Amino acid sequence: MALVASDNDEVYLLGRIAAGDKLAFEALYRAYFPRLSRFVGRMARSAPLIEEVVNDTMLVVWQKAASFDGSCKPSTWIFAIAYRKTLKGLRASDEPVESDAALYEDEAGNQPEQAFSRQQLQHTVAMALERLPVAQRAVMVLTYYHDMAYGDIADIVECPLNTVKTRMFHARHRLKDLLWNERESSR
Amino acid sequence: MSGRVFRIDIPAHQAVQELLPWYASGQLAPDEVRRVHEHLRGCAQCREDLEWEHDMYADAAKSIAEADALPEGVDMEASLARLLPMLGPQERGDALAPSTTARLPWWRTAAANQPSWLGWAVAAQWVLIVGLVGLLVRPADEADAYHVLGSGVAAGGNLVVVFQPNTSERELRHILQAQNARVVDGPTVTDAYLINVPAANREQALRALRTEAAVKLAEPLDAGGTP
Repeated sequence: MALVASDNDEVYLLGRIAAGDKLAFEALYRAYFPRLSRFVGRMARSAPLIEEVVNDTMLVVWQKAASFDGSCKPSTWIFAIAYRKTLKGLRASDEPVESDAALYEDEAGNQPEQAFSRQQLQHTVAMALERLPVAQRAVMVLTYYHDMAYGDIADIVECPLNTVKTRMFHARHRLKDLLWNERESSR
Repeated sequence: MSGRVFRIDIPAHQAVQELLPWYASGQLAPDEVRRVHEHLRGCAQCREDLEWEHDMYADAAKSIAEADALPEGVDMEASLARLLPMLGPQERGDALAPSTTARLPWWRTAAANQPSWLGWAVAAQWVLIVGLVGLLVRPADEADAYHVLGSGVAAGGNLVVVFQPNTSERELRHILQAQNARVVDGPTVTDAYLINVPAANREQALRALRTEAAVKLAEPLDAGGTP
């Protein structure tokens, strides 16, 4: 499997892709497929939809590689395309864009915070994540599962920095509540 | 007492709460790190929440490793095989970026490092540089011709004057103006000025200059021969 070591390598690959180099495209595809499918997979459930969104994303990368201007990291550019394609894919599919949890988004901040053991987190966090609104889930997944800074996330989801921080703050409270409820219901 | 910490600076606490996830992953700017670090020393709740953040990162890393990096049922090779035949023509030069750059007006786009025009701009820059270098290395006699052209010999210097070292600029100016003289060149390495006075008054100007205390030396340029 081709590994892309750094942003510079990815910029180089994008340059080759812009020149029509399909081998470079394959290298970038293989480097990004796991990351993109994990990201998309946190919002879309079915494997065919995940694969379709990732392919739609990489097709745009192929078509528009020449317009990557280096004003952000290649990963930020590609994930931003993936986020837009995911929202578009969800709307076009039968999968729900938002869960019912979105209805409680703004109430979460008033709930008592709970402490959980790492073991409990490992078993329930994925399930709890699925119940977050897509906008909060995307920010949270990019933060915890893709180690992205909030500035990069703001570029990807196309919103102001403070919105990312606030969205993350509410998502964390909401997640804690969901985890606490999971624990209580499993007793 | 329950040991609860009563915080006075609620906005600061809120700001730190919002930064905790990226503090835990080391993604903050140095000033933000310092702010969070200072707050953590006095806030038990934030310290507890920081532990939760570390747990979240550990859980994320573990789940990625356990899932072998791909969601269930997703096949990378099959997906790539489907996509490769669909790779058609590529677009060139459109502004595309994740956020604001996708909607940049043309004048902002022109300011960006667009490969479409950057090459031409660099080429034009080199043409200009080569042209300027050409001007610099042009033979010197062409530059000398500049002084002669248009004004003829009369416009060249016809007197050489050396002023006393302590002559002020004001005094020097008055002396020259009194003779309707113009500085053509100088001061030279010997502090001499090449000046031009109307040819008809040259002898008179020469005499007048020699009477000035501030004038150390005044000589006709063409070795005394009047036309």
